[in-house]
Amino acid sequence: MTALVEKALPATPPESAWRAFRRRFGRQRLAVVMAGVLGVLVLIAVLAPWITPQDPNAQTLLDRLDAPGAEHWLGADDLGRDVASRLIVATRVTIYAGALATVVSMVIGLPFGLLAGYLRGWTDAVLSRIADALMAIPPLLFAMAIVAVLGRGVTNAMIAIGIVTAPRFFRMARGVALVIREETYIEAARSIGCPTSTIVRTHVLPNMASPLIVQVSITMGFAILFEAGLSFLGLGVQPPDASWGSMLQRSTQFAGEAPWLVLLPGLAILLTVLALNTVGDAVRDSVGRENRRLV
Amino acid sequence: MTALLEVSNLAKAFPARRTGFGRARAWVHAVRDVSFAVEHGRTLGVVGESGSGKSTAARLLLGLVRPDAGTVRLGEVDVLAARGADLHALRRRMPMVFQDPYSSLDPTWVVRDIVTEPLRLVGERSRPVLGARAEELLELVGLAPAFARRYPHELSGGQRQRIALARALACEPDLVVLDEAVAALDVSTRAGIINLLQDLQDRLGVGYLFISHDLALVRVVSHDLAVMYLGRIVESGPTEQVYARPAHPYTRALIAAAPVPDPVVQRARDRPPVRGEVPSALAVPSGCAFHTRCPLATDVCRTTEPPEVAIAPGHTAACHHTESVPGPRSEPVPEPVLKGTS
Repeated sequence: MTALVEKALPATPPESAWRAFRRRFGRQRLAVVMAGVLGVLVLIAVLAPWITPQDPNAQTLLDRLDAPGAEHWLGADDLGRDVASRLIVATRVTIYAGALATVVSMVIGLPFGLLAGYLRGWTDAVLSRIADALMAIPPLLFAMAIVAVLGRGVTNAMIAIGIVTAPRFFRMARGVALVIREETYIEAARSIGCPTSTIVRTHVLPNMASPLIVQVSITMGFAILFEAGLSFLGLGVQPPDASWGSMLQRSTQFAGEAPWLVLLPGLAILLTVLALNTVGDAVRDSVGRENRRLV
Repeated sequence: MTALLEVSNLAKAFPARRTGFGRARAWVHAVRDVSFAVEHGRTLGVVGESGSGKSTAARLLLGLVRPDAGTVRLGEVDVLAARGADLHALRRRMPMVFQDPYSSLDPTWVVRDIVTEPLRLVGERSRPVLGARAEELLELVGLAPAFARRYPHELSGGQRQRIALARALACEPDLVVLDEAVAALDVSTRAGIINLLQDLQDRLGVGYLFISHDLALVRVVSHDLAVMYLGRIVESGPTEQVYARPAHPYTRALIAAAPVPDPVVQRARDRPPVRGEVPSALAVPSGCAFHTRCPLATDVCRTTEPPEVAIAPGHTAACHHTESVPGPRSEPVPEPVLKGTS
């Protein structure tokens, strides 16, 4: 009987998935810093109305184009509004815009991508052609059309961006599902009578966690850039409200006299997108098991 | 008493090359007219070279692949007539263990969730119940309860295959389909799993459909034997009977090809009379599919498919030349490599 029993366990005590993740993530210094940056940004976005040093929309024309100093920490814009306060308020708009577009994009793209990749055949053919058609539309033009129909505003613009970027999630989910469906553990699940919907939800989806995380971070950075672009064109956030893009747009006229007006929102966008991509990559590298075979 | 599993006239051809319009231009005849039965608490071994259709046959049983023809009866139930949830429930009554334990377990799941997955599929939700059942199942396959919290990548091949077996046993099935379940393991691990399988059969009375390419192995575990060649069963019968008096030249060749551990005996043996490779299943030879490699082949073999000939009660062979079968073998029967390693 003793020959039957294999009680031996690996020497190391079990490490929970979360602790393994923290250990691997912690080794990537830049990502840790960037995660901190993202945390601060989210905190600022949440607390925005209470932490602005001055009213972000109050115009003090005497302070017009003031350089950074004691009165205005980061200077004042062409209407004498406090730049620091406007940057803080704009953080909320930016995070909201990025998150909204990403959620819309994922909610549309991911389920259809999973279905197309797992079921293949006609489902895949039809869905893939639709995705191709959607991909052929220039995002900016589509967003402008939607805004023209539904009216200006960040929400409408970001829903539009979410729709046009949905094929990215679709492509990713379809491609990875095509690989996963051939794995033996999928056939094993079928062999114990697991229904298709359960297989997709409990076996296919968790196994695409890493590419999904990367896709989320990339899409979010992309959406933030588009929000800036749309606001720059005057289609996003409406005056007097601020977003980093709209601040950038107004300030270009005064770039010579007041360079901080251009630099600060530009740097904010750069830092946020960079942080998103760095953290996304690091999370991708830190999740999962030792025998990751995808990506 | 009816058989546990009764398979009759199962057939499946896969489209191979397609024309530009998606119509099949050639067919791979993976399984052709296969019939067999597994009795309660007994083991049917299915042997054959790779490409003989053994694994396809297993998938057809479970309806994982739809057969072109044939019936599968599990007890009184017609498996292939079932659809949807009924079919899913039937699959849990004859679960399958796969060849490669490194890819048959979801890497994102812990062992506890893997072995109790079938129970969750039948609606068990209580975490304490599932946890207790997981420990029971692990105990059953000889693993410590602490394995429940492990991920598959932390375990060895043999341990993983025990996990796969535990999952198969979760719903207390009468039959387990073992598709080359020990082929990917090294010899000593394999011995442990084989002993476990036999122990479980003694304790739980499960029947096995044991699919393997290793004749020596099948001989150890099986009560009955079916030899497949190019999608057909060429010989079947009680294992010892088939071994003592192999009626089909292919079975004889398989037995002769299995190495004997003693080098002196091995060198003294006749070389296998069969040469060459298995013909492509795309173009199955006419008449008896084995005639291209058979030392006894005559004209009738090339033109006419041989009928099943009864050699002894329960022992049949599909060959035109069964009368030329030699008497009980005097040659030493190859000892299974397993001996002494457990």
